[in-house]
Amino acid sequence: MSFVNFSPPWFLGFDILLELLFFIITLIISVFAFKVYKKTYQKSILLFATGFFLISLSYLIQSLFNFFALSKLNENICVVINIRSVLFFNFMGIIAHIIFMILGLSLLTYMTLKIEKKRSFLLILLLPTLGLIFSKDLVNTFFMYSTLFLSFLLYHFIKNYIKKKDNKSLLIASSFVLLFIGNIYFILLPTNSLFYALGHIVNLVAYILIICNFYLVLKR
Amino acid sequence: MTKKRDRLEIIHDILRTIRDKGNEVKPTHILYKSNLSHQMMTAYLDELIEKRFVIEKIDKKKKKKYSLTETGFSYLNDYHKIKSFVDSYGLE
Repeated sequence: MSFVNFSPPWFLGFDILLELLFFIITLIISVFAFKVYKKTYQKSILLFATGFFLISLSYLIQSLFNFFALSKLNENICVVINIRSVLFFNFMGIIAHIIFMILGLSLLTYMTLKIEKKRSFLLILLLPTLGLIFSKDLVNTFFMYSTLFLSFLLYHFIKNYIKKKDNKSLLIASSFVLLFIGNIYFILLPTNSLFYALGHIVNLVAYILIICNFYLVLKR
Repeated sequence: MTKKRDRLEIIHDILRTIRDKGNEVKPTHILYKSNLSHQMMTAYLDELIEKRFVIEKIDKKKKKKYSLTETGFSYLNDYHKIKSFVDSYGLE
């Protein structure tokens, strides 16, 4: 099984392009945040940069494995690296995507909670990890945990907008509202494959808002 | 009532004070311009020296003076972008 199995036939290929685009946008934000960290040495910025970097890696992995599955390249890769089962190879792709995404979201959530203790981060990371290990439906449980993390992030960004009341914080708060909605669509995937496409499209709008905010930051 | 300054704004105020005084300034001037307690100012200056934003010099009268490094000037140049990015994500 691969993520492309969830896609409606007309959306095949578009999902890979969108995931590649999400990878590029999150990577740009991460690289800029690392540059800001190098000038400020502020721990919250380092956590933010690392979180976004891990999320960008998760999108890259998702995009690559979906491409392998769609182009049947995964069969050739399995022969080259001596893996007997294509299903197992695709499953590894899903696992890698989940690991990086959960790591990234945990770091971002930990950053917004403003707790100094490293043990708190371990707790934030270990609870969903255990839940995922013992889950019967790995993908759906993953989307539920992602939505939970996004709800905490959403609270932080809305609170930030209420405090700042400017266009840039509004763009970021709106983008996280959309990422949250996108994840809810992914939770609904078992009911209809259309939600796979809807989730991707809503995420696209969210990342466009993030890149608009980035443009405004640089324009100043 | 004025808003409480965050860490980035305080650092910006200290660095700007040094730059605006011809890049060589006495600690008393920083204290006066940055609107901080002596203890807070010393803590910030120690951090800025450690992170190489500022260098400490001793003049002929054996008095301390502070100057910006390249990193300090670079921070001032990019301050508005940094602040705008940090504010939009609430990273302070």
